[in-house]
Amino acid sequence: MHPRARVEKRIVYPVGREEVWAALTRAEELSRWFGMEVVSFDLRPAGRIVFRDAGGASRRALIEEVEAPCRFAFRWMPAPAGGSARDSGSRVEFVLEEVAEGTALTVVETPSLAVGELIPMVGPVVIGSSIPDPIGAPPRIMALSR
Amino acid sequence: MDPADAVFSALADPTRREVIRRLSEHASMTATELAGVLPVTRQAIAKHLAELEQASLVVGERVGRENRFRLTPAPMGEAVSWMNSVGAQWDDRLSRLGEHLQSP
Repeated sequence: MHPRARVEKRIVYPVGREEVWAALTRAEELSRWFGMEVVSFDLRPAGRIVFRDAGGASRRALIEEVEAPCRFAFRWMPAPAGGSARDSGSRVEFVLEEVAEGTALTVVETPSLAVGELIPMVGPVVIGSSIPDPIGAPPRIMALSR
Repeated sequence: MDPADAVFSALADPTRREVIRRLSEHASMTATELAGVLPVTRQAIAKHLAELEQASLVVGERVGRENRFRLTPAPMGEAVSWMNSVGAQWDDRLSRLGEHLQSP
């Protein structure tokens, strides 16, 4: 797979790193924003996360890295027959950094081989705020009232 | 510009990524149709389409009096559509995470 074939997003939240870490790694908090309900969450390397999507189907992920409070990564496991396999196998990585404005969260999703192997044909393509921007826009900062 | 640079540059712009996302939902669309669903003028859309066409991400074809645009076929289309849908999904999630973090 091409090493630069991926989706990358970076966003700064005006809260402490522990708060962001908790939002990523506590089942009840993750369920509130991820778009799927977390059914079980075994927070350790080689642990499993089981999600239930809006249609009631299970989606499983295998945890690859847990380094509180700065790194967390998992890999989607192949969807069961009949399920959506669109992003199965892709790897999701979160990096949390303390910055002056709060916490910078970077999310990188690397596609499964099936999609990733297509990308080298056109060279490096990265979507997200890490693209060298011609006007040099700074990372997006959420304006939260607090 | 070499082909990879053209693709890279074409996809760096959020409006162009949105144009690709819309095109991925239709067989083909005109600049006017795209301008109807995006918050930019038809002239701006035409400019974006020209850049995407330059990068071989979309192709325009004359149908009657209309110039209709569609995504170029796989494999490029598949890779771009993966990146667009996954990128859009993370935009939604990170926006909800922001709301969650500010809720009491």
